[in-house]
Amino acid sequence: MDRDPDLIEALETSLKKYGAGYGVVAAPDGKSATELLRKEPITLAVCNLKVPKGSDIAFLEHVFSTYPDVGVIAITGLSADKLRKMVKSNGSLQCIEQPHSIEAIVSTVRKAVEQQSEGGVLYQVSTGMFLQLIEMEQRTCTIRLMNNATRRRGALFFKDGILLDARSNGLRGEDAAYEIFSWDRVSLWIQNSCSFEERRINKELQAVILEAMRRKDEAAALSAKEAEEDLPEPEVIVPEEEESETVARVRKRLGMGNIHHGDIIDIREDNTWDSLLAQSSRIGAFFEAGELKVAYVDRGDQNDYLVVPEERSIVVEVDPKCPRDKFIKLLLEGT
Amino acid sequence: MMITGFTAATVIMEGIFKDIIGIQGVKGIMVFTHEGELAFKYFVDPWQFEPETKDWWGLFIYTLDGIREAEMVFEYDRLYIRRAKEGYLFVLASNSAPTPMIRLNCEILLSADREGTGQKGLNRFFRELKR
Repeated sequence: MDRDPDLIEALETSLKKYGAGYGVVAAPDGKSATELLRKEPITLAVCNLKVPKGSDIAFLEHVFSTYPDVGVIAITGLSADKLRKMVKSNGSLQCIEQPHSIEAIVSTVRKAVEQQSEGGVLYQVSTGMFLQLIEMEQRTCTIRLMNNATRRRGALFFKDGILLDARSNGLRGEDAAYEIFSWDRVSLWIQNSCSFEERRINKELQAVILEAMRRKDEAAALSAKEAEEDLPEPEVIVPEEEESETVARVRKRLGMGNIHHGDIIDIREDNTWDSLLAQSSRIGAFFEAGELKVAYVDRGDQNDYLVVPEERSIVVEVDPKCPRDKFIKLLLEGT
Repeated sequence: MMITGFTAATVIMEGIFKDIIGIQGVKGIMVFTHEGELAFKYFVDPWQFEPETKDWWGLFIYTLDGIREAEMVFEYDRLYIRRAKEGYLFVLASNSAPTPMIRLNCEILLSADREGTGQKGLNRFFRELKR
């Protein structure tokens, strides 16, 4: 991430000299870099921060909290210690203090990339068998994986053989682990360290693998059944999902008012709001305002959103002209 | 009142927010830059909160990701958030406060920025802060 196109070009050219293993993508600012992280399988971020601003620190914290397997190399005018103190979250952060040379950056990038596979690289292996060995050996490591069939990528974090967390395609925790363990043949890169301490997966590895297999079998059975039924439009098979209890409860609460048809566009579970809600709750606690009950958000989109904190956040997409206070009142009455 | 900006800017700010502060149930106002720096705070009870002691505002502003308007409704209070050209305006109020009045006064304040009159809007504060 850098606003200087010349430095980006110089870095790109130098890294490509070291072989085809380096794919480089550039972003001029934190916002574009965040977007790239969401779309591309990034393993290392090099950020030219000079004098880091609040938004730069926030970007680093975002990377560490959302993509704990992505290493960060910061080129900064500050000392490494000072920058580390500013960034509260734990993550793999290396600093190159300015003034710097292209050679110094390239050398640090190479070392970081090599470190990500210091424990070895395996191609065409079965995920489950290999990971049980990691558990048996009580290894501490970060394993980056690629599904050989789909090229999708993921990461698993082990501490003393315990699976702490997983990340894959926007998923974290158990859901990500279920996806990764459903992959048949993978390539994997082992790093002999784990910069991550928080345990997000509270099941035994064996239980997670079994559940992943069960889900995979279930999906395969469903596909087979649908194929047999010879549906008229087999390419668009979307099984109708049963509405969850929490969505039904919110729908019922809103249904108690005399609501104009068309004010509510959709009600659904959506965990992409979890971070905003968690941080809002922290602010509520700071102001001694009590528990967060509901949030109304206008993002400048066509519709606005009422978000209700539940185990999985419930989002009510509404017309911006809807009676907002009435909706909030109805949702508060039901809590 | 605790001052985080320059004195001149703070005096201007108090004047700018007079109408909002005067609404019954409003407990305080904060202004953050888009970088997450606290530029101004005013609380009815001056000793109750010290938001400048918390380092997570930057992350929160980042997470807002350009949200135009938000209203966080808690058990006792609510936090009304409005995006302005140069930052975010936060209004803390009790749940009994007339929120349509708060929204209306924020809209009047921010529309002064959009119309470019420069005499009343939030931009005037930021101009003073940069001097």
